[in-house]
Amino acid sequence: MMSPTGEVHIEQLLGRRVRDIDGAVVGRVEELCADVINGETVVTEIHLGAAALWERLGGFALHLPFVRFLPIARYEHRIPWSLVDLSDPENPRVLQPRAKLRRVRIDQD
Amino acid sequence: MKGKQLLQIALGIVTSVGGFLEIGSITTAAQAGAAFGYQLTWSVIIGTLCIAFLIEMSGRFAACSKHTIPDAMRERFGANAFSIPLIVMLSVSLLVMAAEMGGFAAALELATSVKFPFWAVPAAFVSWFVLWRASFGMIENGVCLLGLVTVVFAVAAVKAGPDYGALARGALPTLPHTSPAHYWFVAVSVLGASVSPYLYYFYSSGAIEEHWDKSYLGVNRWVAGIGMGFGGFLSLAILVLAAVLFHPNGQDVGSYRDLPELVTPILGRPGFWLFVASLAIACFGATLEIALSLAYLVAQGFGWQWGEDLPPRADARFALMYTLLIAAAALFVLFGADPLKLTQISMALTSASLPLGVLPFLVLMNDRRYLGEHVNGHIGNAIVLSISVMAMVLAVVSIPLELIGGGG
Amino acid sequence: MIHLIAEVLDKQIVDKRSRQAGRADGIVIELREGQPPLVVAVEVSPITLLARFNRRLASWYARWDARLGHGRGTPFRIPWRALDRTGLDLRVDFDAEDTPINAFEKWLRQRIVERIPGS
Repeated sequence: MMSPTGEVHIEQLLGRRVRDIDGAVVGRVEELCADVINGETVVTEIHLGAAALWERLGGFALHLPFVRFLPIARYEHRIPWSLVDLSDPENPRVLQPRAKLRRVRIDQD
Repeated sequence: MKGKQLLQIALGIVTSVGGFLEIGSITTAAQAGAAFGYQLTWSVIIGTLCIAFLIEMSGRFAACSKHTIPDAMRERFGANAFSIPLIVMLSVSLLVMAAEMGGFAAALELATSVKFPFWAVPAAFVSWFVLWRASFGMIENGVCLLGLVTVVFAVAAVKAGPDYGALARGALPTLPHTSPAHYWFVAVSVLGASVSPYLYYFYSSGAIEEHWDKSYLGVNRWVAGIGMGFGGFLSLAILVLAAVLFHPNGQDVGSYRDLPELVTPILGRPGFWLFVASLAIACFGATLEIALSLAYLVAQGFGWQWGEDLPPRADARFALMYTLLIAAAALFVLFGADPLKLTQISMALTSASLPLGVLPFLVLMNDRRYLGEHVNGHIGNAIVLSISVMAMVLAVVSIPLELIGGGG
Repeated sequence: MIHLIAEVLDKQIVDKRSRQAGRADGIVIELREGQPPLVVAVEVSPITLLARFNRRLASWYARWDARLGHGRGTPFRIPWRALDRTGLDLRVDFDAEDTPINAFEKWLRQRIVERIPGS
């Protein structure tokens, strides 16, 4: 797939809704993970989902006594960079249908 | 415990006690005692309990994480989320600061008979000058040692011969016999006066200014517990004085000019001057503390250089912040905003906005990345959470009712 | 693995004189064809910060800032490689005084603060 060039501001991506290849909403951008590969720091993964917000809050919130009773989603999608199209930063897209994406339970981290 | 730590505890307690009372706690306790006798004792106790926990948490947070609360809040929650508590705290605390400066000016009016708006500019200038020239330690210790004059309230309260039985019964929350809207409004004001976010935000910056580390955790616990406890005891003394002197005659606290009568019937003319000194020093100290607290909040939130221990040339934007804040607060006084009314409003607003400042802080206090093994226990979380939510609910309910009912 | 948002964005930056030098208001990545995006730089600027709230406000501020001098009006960037992320804060190897990060601080100090006695 064609990956366009250009610069993107991560802080502008934060919180943006991401849709899959069929237009269905997958979740919101909550984190970008990077690794050092061949001496370069590159983005390897993007974390999406309502639950991914907890990652930023440290996940502790899920352990507060009252939160257990709240209907909060505890999953997030972790998407490898190659499946994400950021060419239009206002409308980021995932290049696969939602059902095929890797879904992780956040409080088991 | 080593001698040096004992000394630090002693100093910390002294500064807490000396710094605890300010126009909010004085007037709300007085109004509570005047209107409802000993019945609202529980609100002073609960408010003191909550702030003691928050102060301990604040010190523990700074000592373990080496971050101040605003610093950690921006870092943890991001600029967008942080902007909400930032704006709310700036607005509400500015009103509180205007009330404190008004209290300082009111004390000067009581002393000189020159009307309080006249004192706006001198009060602002003196406040600014002290922040400009003094170091953190000088302010903390100097002003708060002077603040020990507020012990006069405890002395007067004991001499007044209160009904200790009724006082003890008042420690349990009860429903009001009369004027329920006013009762809850006064309770809310008492809570807002005790649990001021600017206090525990300030405390975390102070701990960093004084280079606290984990070895200070014990000192911190003693200072928070005994310091705040004793401070709350002084608030209670004022409530007692009002309960003994004002309540039986149905006398209310309608103006700050009524306040000296909490002390003069018991201690005579010297009592008047001690009261004036107490009010002046307590409000002056609070003005400085709020100005610094808000300047810390902004400077740390934006990542500027900050520090009262730095000379102004080393942190010009920080100095600019407290200068602007003092000027803004002084405008209220200059235009004659009644200190008592300003106090009532700002205390109620503080209660209403309490969860906004407290909840993010609680998230931080449970984050092992900052605190490691020193995260909050369930009890601390539960107490702080329940009291702040309760304060908010009461405020949201009682403020409109109070406004409709025409106030008290 | 580096969590760019949790561990880098909004973190305090400290310069070589151990003075606070702003915060990581933004992070820039470069999209590349067939390769993972490269993390390029961290931005420290009111322009970047404002843009997170309102783009129009940010460009208005940028236009105003550009009038204040040469090289102004664009966010200041710190190359990713120049950041030391090992400590409590993000450390950089230069003095913030020499950069636009401290432009306002410097101006305030020289034009106003230092003229007031006791500073």
